[in-house]
Amino acid sequence: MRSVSARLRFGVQQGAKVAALLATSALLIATSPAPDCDKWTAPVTFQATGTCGPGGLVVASADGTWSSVALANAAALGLPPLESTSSPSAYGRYAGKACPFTLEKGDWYFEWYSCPQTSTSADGGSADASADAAVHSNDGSTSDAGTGAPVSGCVRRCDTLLVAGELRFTCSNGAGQVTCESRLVKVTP
Amino acid sequence: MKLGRRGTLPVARSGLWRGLGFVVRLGAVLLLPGCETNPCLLDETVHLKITGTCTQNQPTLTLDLRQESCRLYLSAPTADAGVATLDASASPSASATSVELPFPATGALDAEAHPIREGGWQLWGCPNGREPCPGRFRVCTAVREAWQLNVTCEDDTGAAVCRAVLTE
Repeated sequence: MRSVSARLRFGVQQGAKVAALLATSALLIATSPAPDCDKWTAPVTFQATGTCGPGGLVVASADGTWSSVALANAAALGLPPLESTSSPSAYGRYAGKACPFTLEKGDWYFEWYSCPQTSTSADGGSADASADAAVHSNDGSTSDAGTGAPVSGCVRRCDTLLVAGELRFTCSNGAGQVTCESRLVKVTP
Repeated sequence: MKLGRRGTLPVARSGLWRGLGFVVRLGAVLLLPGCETNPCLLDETVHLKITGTCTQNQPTLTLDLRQESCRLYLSAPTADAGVATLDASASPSASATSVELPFPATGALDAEAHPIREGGWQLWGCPNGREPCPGRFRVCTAVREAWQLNVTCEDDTGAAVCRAVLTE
């Protein structure tokens, strides 16, 4: 009988160990940050036309982990290089709810810092975002290039929005004024 | 004693078996749905022969196209690096030792994540991978036709600049 109870205890101990292992694993899984979207989002090629940059082909691609969006040939839309999601000075993000992301339906945007070199020309109504692209700071700071003092209104932003079946790409300056607008048409391979 | 003998082993093992069974079930619950919803688990490299107008003055190139988590990476095979190297005179900025690929070096699969051999994928970017590159940006799209892949490349204005046929 002693043998029986010893084996019984052994079984219970083993079960408890397995349960503890599983509980720890479950806790680790539960506390790991989940990706924003774990489904594959394919890149989408658009033909851009309008007042944002010279226009042309751009390729939007996304990473579901952090909802980041990259744009290849961003210069076609008058933007600073956005080909890498790790760019320190500019970033793109998908703000929609769909998973996989529906890039062709908009709800993604780009933001970057573009501080004027002189305070007198701050947000002087430049309609072309590319005019300021050359002076954006690489570290993403918003300080004045001359004095190092913080400058407000340095954030530039471009949004995509589906309007009546048409994807609009609208950029605004730090004061919230629309600086340009383009149309993005999905190119079907 | 008979009861004890009969009950001993099953009772002693039941904790382990139950634990293991739970592990298997938990694994199935956690992993199987992931397999079903993630088509990007297949990683492979396809060795491709390229002919057409994208290879400039080289009649045939051999390149490796690697698929990794639905992203694509084009490279010259190490052994055939000399074959894949285009004439340096075609690109004045390129050094004699650099390899200029006929297509952009990175891209991705289509929405259905069709494998490389089935087409649908795209490669895009600048020749050296750095933007901006006015006039040199390319978007190349592959379409499967019979036993080959037909690739069409467009420039930043959307105009077709070259076509290539890819086979293994």
